[in-house]
Amino acid sequence: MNISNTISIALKAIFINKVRSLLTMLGVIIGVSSVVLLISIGKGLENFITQQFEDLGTNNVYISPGQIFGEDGSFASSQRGAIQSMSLSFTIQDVRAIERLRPQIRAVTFYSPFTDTARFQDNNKDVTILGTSDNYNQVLITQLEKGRWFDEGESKGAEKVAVLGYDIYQDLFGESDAIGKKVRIGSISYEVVGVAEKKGTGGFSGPSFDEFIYLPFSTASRIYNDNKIMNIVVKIQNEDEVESSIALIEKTMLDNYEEDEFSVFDQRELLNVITDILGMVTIALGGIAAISLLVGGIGIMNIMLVSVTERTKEIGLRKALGATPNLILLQFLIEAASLSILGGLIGLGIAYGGSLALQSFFPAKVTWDAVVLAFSVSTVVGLIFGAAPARRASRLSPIEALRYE
Amino acid sequence: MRAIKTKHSTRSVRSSSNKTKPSSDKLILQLINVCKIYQLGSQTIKALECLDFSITKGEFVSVIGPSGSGKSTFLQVASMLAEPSRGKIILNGQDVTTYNEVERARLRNKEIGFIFQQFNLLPRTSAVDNASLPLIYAGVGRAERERRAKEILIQLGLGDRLLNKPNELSGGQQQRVAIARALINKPSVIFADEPTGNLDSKSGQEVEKILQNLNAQGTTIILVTHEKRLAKMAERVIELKDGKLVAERRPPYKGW
Repeated sequence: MNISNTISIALKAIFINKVRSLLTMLGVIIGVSSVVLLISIGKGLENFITQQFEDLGTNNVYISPGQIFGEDGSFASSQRGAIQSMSLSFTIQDVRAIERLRPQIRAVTFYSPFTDTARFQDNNKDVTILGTSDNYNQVLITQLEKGRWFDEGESKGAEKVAVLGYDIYQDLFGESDAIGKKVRIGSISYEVVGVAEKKGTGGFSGPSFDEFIYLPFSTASRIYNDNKIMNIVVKIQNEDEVESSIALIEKTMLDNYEEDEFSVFDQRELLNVITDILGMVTIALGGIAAISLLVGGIGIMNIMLVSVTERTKEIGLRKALGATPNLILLQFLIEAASLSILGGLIGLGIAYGGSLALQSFFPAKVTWDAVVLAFSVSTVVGLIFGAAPARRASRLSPIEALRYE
Repeated sequence: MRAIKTKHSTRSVRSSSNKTKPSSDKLILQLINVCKIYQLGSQTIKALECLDFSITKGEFVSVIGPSGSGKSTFLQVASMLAEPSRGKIILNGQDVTTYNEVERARLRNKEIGFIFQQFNLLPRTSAVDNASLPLIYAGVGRAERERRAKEILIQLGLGDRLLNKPNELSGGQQQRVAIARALINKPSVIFADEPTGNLDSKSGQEVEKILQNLNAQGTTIILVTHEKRLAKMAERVIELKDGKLVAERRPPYKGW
């Protein structure tokens, strides 16, 4: 008597009672599919956010007004920080001071947002304008679909040139060429020198890079009469110099600002906080979904107990014909585990289908560890909840069992 | 295994069997001073009392008695389904009294064939799979199991019913599948427990003939029944009453 025989006996018993088996598996199916789907969504989200940060370029250090992180490294929770940060800003002198920290620092860019209405011919569009430096596209990696970024001369001369985000370009120009054309923003006319490549988003809220119009900071600050700088981004030469650079920048900033008036952080720090939160949410949701796995396991135990009672005669016969108690135990354990694993596989299939369906507007991805998790959890559920019924079956006396009607 | 004749050609088998059957005085199963006592609450029930019994290879013995006579207990103890409370059981010269549950299961698988009143076939399972069931526990491969099951089923006249399930078979056919199952692992002894009890008289007679043929070809059979007529086809009849052996008869069963 080998394992494959026992497995085939167990599978046969499952297929003989198709409807009952399916209903028994339902708990495991729902449990596994929801756990896997939730983990996939969490993982997908994490990958998506990480990717977005990486697309912006590595080795970047961000300087933002106010306190972004609390003492424990998570986001600062005080409302004061948020309100305060709105009234805080930096100056071009801060940028110059940081630039002087070379050679560790490769480049520094900065920007401030303004809002206005852009117009080309009959098309109007409310837009966010980023007044920024001529090296913005090298620090916060921005490829150009067409044309070029504004150059140092244009920046210094505060010339009226603009780079359009891809969505803005499409909204204003459709498919026609925009380079060299004049676009009106507010009451001023600008020459379009470049169109940024579509960066795309996963549909999350918040401004999309494709909805920006980039102007030289000098131009924007003059026209909007506002030379405050909202954010400074510093590109560090080497990855292993990021830590020391942050300390250096903080020290420089402290010459002019209080400790709680600015934050210096790199993307890893930001990313860690976000993925920590995502991870906790995923675990919490997955845990709730896992309760249905428990319910599924109890369902399997229930049906297996019924099955043992129903098949008392069969068990007696098998024992009379030479089945040892261990083989009967194995047969029923395998039957329970097969039910559970089959349910797990169906659940996995549903989760996979669900993730594909979600993919068009949400980044869900079934990962291998989710597959392994589903498989092992459903096996364990089957074995644990199959143990009691299988034990009962193995202990039946062949005489009593054969006499059972 | 030699061909087992069925139906039409079996009328003369009984009279000729004593001559053609391989004779051997080799003891195949011995029960020495075997008792079986049940504890039912505070009551002690002596189902079997100090029974001595032996059967030689190729013998056909009937065990008869009214209900409560202990014949079921005898069958259970002698077929290794139950342990005796006292006494010794010797099978093929080996003392098997002290065998544990696993050893007894292996012993039953190898040495004992069962034919039940209720057939006890697995539902929704083909004749071939039912007949080959003991071979699964003997560790025989699938192809060999099927080959042997088909061979025996064909010999028993079920060649056109190989893949039918029990609910597609008549009572007589079901019992023949069960007989095939009892024979498939070439056991030393076959225990038949009221094998015709659930059959109409025609099917019952068919089964009787099969048993006689099997015995004629050398199979050792112990038939447990309460029917005198059926018991008489054996070459020795043992009568039990209140757990005790009260009579032993041999043919001709004059005045009985």
